[in-house]
Amino acid sequence: MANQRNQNQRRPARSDPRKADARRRDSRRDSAGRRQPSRSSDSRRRSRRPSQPSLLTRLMQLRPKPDFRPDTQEHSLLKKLHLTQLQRGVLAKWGLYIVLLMGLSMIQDVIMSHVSLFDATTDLVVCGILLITVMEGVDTGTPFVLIAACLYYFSGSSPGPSCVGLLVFLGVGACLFRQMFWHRNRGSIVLCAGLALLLYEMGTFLVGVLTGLTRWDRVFHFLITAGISVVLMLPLYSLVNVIGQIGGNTWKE
Amino acid sequence: MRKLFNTKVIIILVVAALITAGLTIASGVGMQTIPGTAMQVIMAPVKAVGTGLANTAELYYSYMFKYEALAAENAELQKKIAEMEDVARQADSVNRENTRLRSLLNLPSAVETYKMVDAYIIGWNTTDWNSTLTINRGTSVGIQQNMCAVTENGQVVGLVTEAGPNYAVIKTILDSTLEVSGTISVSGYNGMVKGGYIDGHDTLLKMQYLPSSAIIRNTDQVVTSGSTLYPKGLIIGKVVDAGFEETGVAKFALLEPAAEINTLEQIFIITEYATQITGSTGASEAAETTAPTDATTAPTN
Repeated sequence: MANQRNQNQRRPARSDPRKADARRRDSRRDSAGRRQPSRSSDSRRRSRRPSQPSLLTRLMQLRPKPDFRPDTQEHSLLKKLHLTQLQRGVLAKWGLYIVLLMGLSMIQDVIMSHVSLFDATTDLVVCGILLITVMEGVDTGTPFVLIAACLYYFSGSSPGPSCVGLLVFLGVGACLFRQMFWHRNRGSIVLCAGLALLLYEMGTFLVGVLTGLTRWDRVFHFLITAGISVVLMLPLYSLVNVIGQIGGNTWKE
Repeated sequence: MRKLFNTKVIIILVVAALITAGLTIASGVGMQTIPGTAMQVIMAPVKAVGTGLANTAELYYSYMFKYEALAAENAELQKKIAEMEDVARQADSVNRENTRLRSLLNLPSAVETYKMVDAYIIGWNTTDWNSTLTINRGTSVGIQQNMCAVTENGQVVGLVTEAGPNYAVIKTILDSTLEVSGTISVSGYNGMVKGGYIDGHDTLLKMQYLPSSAIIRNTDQVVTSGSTLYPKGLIIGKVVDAGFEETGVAKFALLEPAAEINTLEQIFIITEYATQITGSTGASEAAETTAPTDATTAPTN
């Protein structure tokens, strides 16, 4: 009880807030009842006055500004995607494969269409697709050959829709054959891809005969086309191999 | 083998078989697919760049190594121009006489006017039996399917079979699947002209269904008979050989195409043509406009 009484004595007595405001206003007036400027407004006015900079400040202003700029916090697109070096390599590899196939398609349609060797031409795009498929192996090569065959058909350079089925079945067959019996080297890859190309040409020829679009005596032209294309596979292999090694060898055998 | 030939491979083979079947049906219907158009739109600028480079290289090569041949060709062409100017003068005289006689007989005359779009060839199809070429202009300039393609001299090149925003595919008259109705201009015999590939004449055209009594001479010119797809009077080719069909009831003629299709660089697409019939007074009496795109018939006419 005594403690409580002491606490009440220590606390200031609560007064009416209106009275307190009136008391504060009266304190700012002089004895004649005129209002006096408050301290805070006086100091504000003083701060508005132009102050004379010191010599040191003026010397500091004369010094050249530093060239240092802090690094930007924004990351590049590749950093945002969080791609590892290997993933970037694999992306570059497939990008270069696409560029290669587009280039082959352009060469075939623009240049090789005018070059007639023994009344036959070449099939560079099919060459490229089969080489890449056999080189990449079953795991990666199978989806690749399906997509590439569809795109080849849609590019308008193919002999017809049969090319999709022929390319996929023969490409996968060539992959399986090589991986079952041979190690990965230039000879085995070119041989398997070349065999697949020969069968592709014969398949195209048969489809043409069955649909009445070609005749039996043209078989030699198809064989010559396959032969020339297989020969062209040898230099093409070097290019495909260089691209295929970007991003490390991913095949498992 | 079992490890390599896994489920994934089987699924992809099945998908490939299904896609092949689907695309065969779609191509049989003659449907233009969206992926096909997209792919061609992407490839068209690439091919255009390639064609430009190849043409430039060929130009420099010709300038450096074929100068004498070009000079000889130029001299020959100048000689030919002189001959043709003489023929043109005679034709003017005949034309004036024709106009005078028409006015005397009060006969109407038909004049065909064309609206054309020029385009450059950016690619040739190299498959064995197809003879198609791709040009660098498409629907953006009004080119549509079933429009006729000609050279600057009015020689038939083929028919537009596919058109995208920046490309169009033209099936040439050398293709066995394209047929054009033709007339031997001298004798007036009509027949059907198509590519001679199936019959063993890869670079020639075959004119069929000519009457057995027809008298066909070498170098006779064959022109289009006129239809919804091809205007009348376009030059198809000239006769190089003739004979009886196997049945013996009709004759055929082998034609050399007027347009040198494999060496063409620029062609023209007839987007619209009108047949204007004028009377003896010269005033236009009737005008029949034909837009090839309105044609609902198959390319064969």
